[in-house]
Amino acid sequence: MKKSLVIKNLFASTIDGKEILKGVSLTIKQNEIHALMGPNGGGKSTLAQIIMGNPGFKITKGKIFIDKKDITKLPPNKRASLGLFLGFQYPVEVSGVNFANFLRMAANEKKSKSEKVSPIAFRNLIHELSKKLAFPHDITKRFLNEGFSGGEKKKAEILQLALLRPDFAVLDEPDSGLDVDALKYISKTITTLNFPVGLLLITHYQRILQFIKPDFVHILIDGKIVKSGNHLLAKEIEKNGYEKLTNG
Amino acid sequence: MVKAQTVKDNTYAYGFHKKESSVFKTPKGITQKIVESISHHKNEPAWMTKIRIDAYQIFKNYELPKWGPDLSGIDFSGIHYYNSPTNQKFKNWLDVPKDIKDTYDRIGVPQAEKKFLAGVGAQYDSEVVYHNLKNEWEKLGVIFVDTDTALRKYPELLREYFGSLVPTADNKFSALNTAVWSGGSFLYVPKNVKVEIPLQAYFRINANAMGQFERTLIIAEEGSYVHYIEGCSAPIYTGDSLHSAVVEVIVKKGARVRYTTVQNWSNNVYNLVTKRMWVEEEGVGEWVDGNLGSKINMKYPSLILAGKGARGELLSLAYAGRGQHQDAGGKAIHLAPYTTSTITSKSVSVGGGRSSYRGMVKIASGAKGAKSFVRCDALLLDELSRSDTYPVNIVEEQDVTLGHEASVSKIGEQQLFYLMSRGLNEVQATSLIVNGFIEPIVKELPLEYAVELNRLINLSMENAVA
Amino acid sequence: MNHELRIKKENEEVIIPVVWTGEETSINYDIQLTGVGSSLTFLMLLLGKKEDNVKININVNHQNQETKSKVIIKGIVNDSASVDFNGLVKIEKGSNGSNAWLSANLLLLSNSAKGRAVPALEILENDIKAGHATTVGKVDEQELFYLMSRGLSKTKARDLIIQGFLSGFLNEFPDGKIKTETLEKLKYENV
Repeated sequence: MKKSLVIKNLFASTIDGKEILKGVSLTIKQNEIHALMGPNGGGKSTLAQIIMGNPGFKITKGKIFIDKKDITKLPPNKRASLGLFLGFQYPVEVSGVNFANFLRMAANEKKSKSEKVSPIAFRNLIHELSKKLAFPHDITKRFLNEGFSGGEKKKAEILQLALLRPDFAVLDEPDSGLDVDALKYISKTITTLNFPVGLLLITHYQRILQFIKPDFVHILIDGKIVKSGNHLLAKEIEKNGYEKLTNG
Repeated sequence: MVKAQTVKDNTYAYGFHKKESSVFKTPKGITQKIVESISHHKNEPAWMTKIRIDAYQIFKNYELPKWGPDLSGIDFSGIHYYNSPTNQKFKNWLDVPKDIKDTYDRIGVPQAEKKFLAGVGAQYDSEVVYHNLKNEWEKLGVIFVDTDTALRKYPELLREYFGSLVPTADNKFSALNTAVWSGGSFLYVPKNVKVEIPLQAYFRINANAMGQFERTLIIAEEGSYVHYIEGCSAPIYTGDSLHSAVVEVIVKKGARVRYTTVQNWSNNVYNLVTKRMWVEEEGVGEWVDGNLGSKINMKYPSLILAGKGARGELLSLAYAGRGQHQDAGGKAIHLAPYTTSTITSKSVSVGGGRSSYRGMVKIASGAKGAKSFVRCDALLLDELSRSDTYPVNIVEEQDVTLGHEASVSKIGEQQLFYLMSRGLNEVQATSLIVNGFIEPIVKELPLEYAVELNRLINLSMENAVA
Repeated sequence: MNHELRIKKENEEVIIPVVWTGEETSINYDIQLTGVGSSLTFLMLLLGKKEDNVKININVNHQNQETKSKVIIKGIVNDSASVDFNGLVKIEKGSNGSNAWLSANLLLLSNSAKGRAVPALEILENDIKAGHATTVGKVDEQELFYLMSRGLSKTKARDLIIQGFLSGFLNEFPDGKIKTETLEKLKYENV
């Protein structure tokens, strides 16, 4: 039975009261790929952060469900344990925290004692994935995102996605700041994931959609989804921009 | 029109009609009688006279501060604490020192301004311009007059706020100012009024343009906005040796005030100023403070972030040349949640000058979510000069972020080499680098100041590098 | 606790590691670098809990050429503890080619924890490099959110961040025991 991530009539604002989302509804099933597009400032990143539970925002109305469970008021780690993952647009640097050790901790959180992965086995997994994403050096020796270039940070997010095997992944502009090669590696990793995941791809440009074909495309403008369609909608936006929809 | 005459001291020009009819200058030194006579000459209400007398008593018993620059050179008994504006005498242009005249030429001060600055000539030919601007702001309900006039015309309003932020006993020099103050600006902006044109100190004609003991009071009602500018980047030649002003600014809910000062007093002046801004909920307070002159300058503009979400910013520039000690900086006191403060200080020391940053950031208990960031950089141009940093950081609330960074260095050899390899000589290269170093502050100054300031730096580099 | 030290041999390198776990209420160091090329690395770890409080004075005085100082203070202040840190690094005239770096980072872990930091500099020589940095505050909220979004509980995420805050620093202490003992004291997994 496929699980669903359901966002129901969501209204949200920043902690100091500025309203950003004005009634967003979306349903994402496992194995579906949804793309969320829209002009800057429309609320795409905010939606991503809110789905994951960023304390800098508050939900004023509406609910979020994973597999019929209401996660609207749950802290971020509980949402993660229910199978949610967020690929950050600007991954924060946490100094002094070893990348591999941290990920192993995160991976083992969900597992029972007997299933926990050993450090060595985990390191091998990371090396394998690093190669696939063409990381130039040994990521296991680095601190969490510290000193990573913009492209490396984005790749690191996808590496985490592959390792943690969530049921749903929201990827906030995974393609911004990437060169063509990096974009190809990331896209390939995403399309060849060996577990069923429902994807919400947030993208400003359509670049990544050339490598990952979305099943559904939604346009978010000024805090509301103004139009939904299939991958052809993305092509239309590429040709005509968002103007027609803004005035609609 | 006032005739120009040769004179010994006080050299400010103004020349407009003034209410006081008699000529009056207090004898040297300060006593209770002298303080009383100042108040009586100005026809002040009894409550103001009492404030002055009480202040004098406090001043008398206060010792000089035990920290900071050496103030033992101030001869309190040798100063005339009050000289009525009608008694202003004017210098003969021929008596103005050559190097001052040369500086004005080099930095491109317009002819009319030169005489005004040097205390020659009665008017700064802007009467027409002034009157048009005055009509504009009066239409908005804005009150902008000198403080003496404000005491006469709006006594209740003034009384409500006078001394509310800087109480008499705050420090020795606030007590002195409270006893002998004269002149300064009184600016009142009504609710939701946004004054688009920056209001400049020299607009409030009808008073001493740059007095020794100015008392400035600015009240910005809810939702209002105003930008006040005072000072001059061109050097001001003056005989006064002690300047001690007090500035109080109240920024009410949702209002915004920017206060820009550029001071370049001559090298015989002790400039000791107390400036404080109180910022209420969602208000924004900004200080832009340019310190170029004086022998000893002590000035720490403060921001008291008293309401939720209040924001404060301080941009401070200090330039210390030979014989100068700039002791500048600022304070940010967070009393309420989600307040933010940013302090940026740039200082340059050259030719034996000493520049010190003295600052305090205090986040009180209860100021949840407060954020403060201080960045102070110092450039030491030669081995004769000195730079100090004394930053105090006090945090009494856990849920906050406070950061402070400072760096001290000389001009990078690599930078110098790069610029010279493109054909610039050492003076040009150094000027460029110094101007670049202070750019974050200079870009916030009104254009004329910025231009004059850059030229001043260039001129100074010539003298230093030569 | 008062300490005075003069580092006077040419190119002499001195490392001073200090760990405070609440006993002393006053720590004073007065260090002079008088030997050409001499250097000081001063590492201070502060672990304050309950009602611990301490007033710290560190004076470092550069009196010769090519002298170097690195003063690093890291502190965890919990419960109702408070730390009052005063540092003064002075570079005297004639100390060409000298470098000084002073940094103080205090993490406040509870509502009643307090910190005061005054990292002062007095520089009388221009052919030098000097800098300082101070941070006082709580664990960064966005860092917490990031780690929690990967499934770690708030407590685990916070512990990881605190550990990260200290780990690079602890590695600089010449006595390896300090690292293990500190981590043990904070009850973290040895990573």
